[in-house]
Amino acid sequence: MPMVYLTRKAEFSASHYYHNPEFTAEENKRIFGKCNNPNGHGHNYTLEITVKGQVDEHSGFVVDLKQLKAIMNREVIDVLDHRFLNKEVAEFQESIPTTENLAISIWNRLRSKLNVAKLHRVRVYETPDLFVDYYGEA
Amino acid sequence: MKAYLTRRYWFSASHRLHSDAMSAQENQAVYGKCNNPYGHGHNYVVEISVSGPVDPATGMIANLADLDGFVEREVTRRPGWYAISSIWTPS
Repeated sequence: MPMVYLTRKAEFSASHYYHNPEFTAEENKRIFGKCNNPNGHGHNYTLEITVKGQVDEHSGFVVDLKQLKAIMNREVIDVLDHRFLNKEVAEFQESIPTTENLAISIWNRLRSKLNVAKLHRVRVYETPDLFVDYYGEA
Repeated sequence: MKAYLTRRYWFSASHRLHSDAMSAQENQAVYGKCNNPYGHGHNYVVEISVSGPVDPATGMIANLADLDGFVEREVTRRPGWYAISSIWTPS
């Protein structure tokens, strides 16, 4: 059976700032620059979720797009959209909400929720010119 | 955990396609209008991808300010690339 990859896009807006409490104020400023402002700043993020699987011969689908959209909305968009990531999203109490960590977080939120198709890639655009890919690699 | 970070950079440059190993007619036949001795220009976009473990202390694969400085020094403003006329680096 042919294996195909299907990508679905979604958008969310959120604010964040970069700060490591183990660094001094000077180190935080030097490493994170203007992203260290504790009042935060925002981005319009674009998310691409790619799943892979075999095309079901009855439906012609790899995955039911309506279901995939509902899972992405429930598990990711509803949690992140219009939130201050550092203050309102559990995992970013412990880690810094960089684009890298966002991609890993979204992967972890979705992985166990998909059963028919397998999660292949999470791509998060912070801007049109900057994005991170995560494939679940250790 | 290994992730991949991609950054897009923009630059403009002029060039001409020409091989000294071929006659003027052959150059014209192979390269067509790109063989114009006065050259022509493009707006190029280059995507630079880096991969590596996410540093738990910073949440980053690579510091973006360092990556921007590196790409600017080594690629988009590299000395000797006479044809490169301008650059726009996304902020």
